[in-house]
Amino acid sequence: MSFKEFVKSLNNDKVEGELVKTIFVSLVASFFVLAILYFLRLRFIADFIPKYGFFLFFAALSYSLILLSVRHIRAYKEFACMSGMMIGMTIGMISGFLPGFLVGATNGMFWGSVVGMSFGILFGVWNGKCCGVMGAMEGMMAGFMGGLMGGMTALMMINDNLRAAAVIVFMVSAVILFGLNYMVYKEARDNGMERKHKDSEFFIIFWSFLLTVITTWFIVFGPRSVLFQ
Amino acid sequence: MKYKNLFFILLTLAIIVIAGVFLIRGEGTSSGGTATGNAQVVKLSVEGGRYVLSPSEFRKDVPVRIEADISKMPGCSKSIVISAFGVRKIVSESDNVIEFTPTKTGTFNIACSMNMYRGVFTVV
Repeated sequence: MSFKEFVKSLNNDKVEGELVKTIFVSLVASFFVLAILYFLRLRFIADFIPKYGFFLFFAALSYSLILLSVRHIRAYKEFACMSGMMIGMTIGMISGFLPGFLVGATNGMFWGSVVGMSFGILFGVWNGKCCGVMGAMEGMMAGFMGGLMGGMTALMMINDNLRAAAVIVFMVSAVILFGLNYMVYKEARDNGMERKHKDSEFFIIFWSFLLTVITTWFIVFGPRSVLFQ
Repeated sequence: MKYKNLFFILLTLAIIVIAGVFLIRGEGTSSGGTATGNAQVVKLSVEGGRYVLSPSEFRKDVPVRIEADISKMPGCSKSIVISAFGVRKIVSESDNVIEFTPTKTGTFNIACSMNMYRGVFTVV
């Protein structure tokens, strides 16, 4: 049973053995940045935690899962064209939808879509290009669509259990990304692929820091649609 | 190696719980209350995809009684939200009244639960 083997492989010394640690490092980096920003600046903002804490918490969790998949894919570097399309589409869609949804919930559909599309296209193309132009194209399209959909969904749910929707959206996205990691593991194992690249922990810390700072700035200080001012 | 990852899993869960306890708190609820005494009576309808309040200017700390004209309110416009004062209600033929007390001044939004129908009113 390859799924059981995948779960077992999370404890090995190879690529999959790094995945749990990646989540840990990313969360530590994100929450550390948030804690510093909070004590330096954010705690002076009225109702900061009730207004924005929930969305920043889920942003940090989302980035840890996205970066986990990015690191997993980068370790093997090259996949078949078909797998590349799936990788580009999944990463592009999820890394567009989640930030789009979270920023859209606080800044409105336009800025949620802008942030979501930017992140989605960036990660979609970056990860999809491991497998040629089709993967990159798929990543670009999925990032574009995911970002728009994230912002739009948040706006339409603003008066209807938005926070519960955010939890559900996050959980579904987590399952999808876990499925992608399993697919990458299965592809690598079935084709006898070995690690071709190793990212250091600094890679995860850098990206967690960058994504958290950008998202925090947008959510707290960024431009807003008229409805959110 | 097995125990090393177990350690990371436990630490990760601990971080999530600690950060969650700190960051996830309910959004502040407004102090909007039920109207009593001499309420300001306001008519609400939908025209051209927008909520129309008549009059659209309320006095602060005086209860407001909004009477919705259901015959002019299609679809989701019956699900009304005034987030600034914690108002959320689905009006119907048998219950078309929304009551609250505006406790702060400014211009505020009234919207349907999907944000498709919108309008504004002012509290002075």
